[in-house]
Amino acid sequence: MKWYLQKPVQLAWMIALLVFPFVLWLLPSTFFDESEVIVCPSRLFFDIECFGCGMTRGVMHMHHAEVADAIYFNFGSPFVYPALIALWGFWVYLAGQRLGWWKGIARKAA
Amino acid sequence: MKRALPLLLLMVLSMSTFASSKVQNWKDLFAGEPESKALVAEMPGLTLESFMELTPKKYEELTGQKMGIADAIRLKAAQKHLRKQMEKPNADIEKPVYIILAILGLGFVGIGILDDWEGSDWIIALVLSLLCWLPGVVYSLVKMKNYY
Repeated sequence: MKWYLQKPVQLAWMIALLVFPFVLWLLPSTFFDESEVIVCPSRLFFDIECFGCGMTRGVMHMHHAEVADAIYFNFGSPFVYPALIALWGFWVYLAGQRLGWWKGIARKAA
Repeated sequence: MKRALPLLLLMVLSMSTFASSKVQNWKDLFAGEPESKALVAEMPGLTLESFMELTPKKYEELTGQKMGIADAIRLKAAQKHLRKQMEKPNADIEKPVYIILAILGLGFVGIGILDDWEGSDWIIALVLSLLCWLPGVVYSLVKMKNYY
């Protein structure tokens, strides 16, 4: 069995997945706004914003239900945010499956 | 054509004068522009820097009113418009030419021309270009911020 499929690793992964949204909610929505670090090569070299520029800030504002702020930082954030939720849900489902949680729930329900 | 030529000349002259002069009143840059819709009553009181750094959240802190989605889009458009107007147009060579030179491994030529072949930046760019092209390209592109 691969190391990342082992139960303790999957449990840690599941806990991290479940805690992560709450950590983001605890942080202020402006947490990433003041950052001076430019990681985008397009902005760094050409001073041109790419389609991904401002996405972190936009998603953070979407997470705090501030749609206008999110759109201000990146027009695509209202579309990316639901996709991220879906991805998060899929990962939670996978981790739960590997831990055997869903089988247990189904058995209890039956 | 004879009438159009002086008019064209006057236009070019006025444009270059406008470009070379410093922005005295940044609100004037919006005269008659659709972006001016973003300049609601509270905004003209701001300085240029604070307007450029204005976000919907800061606007809310400033005025106590929430900014709508449409206003947020207009604000972003206005800031982009202003940034474009403020771009430094008085460099010896155009930005695309500089980028092409940098990509071709001749970034030191661009830096040299823009620095009047003074300082050590162009020598560094030359040495880095000789070190298998890529370091020179990166250095030239990083240095580009000083000129444009």
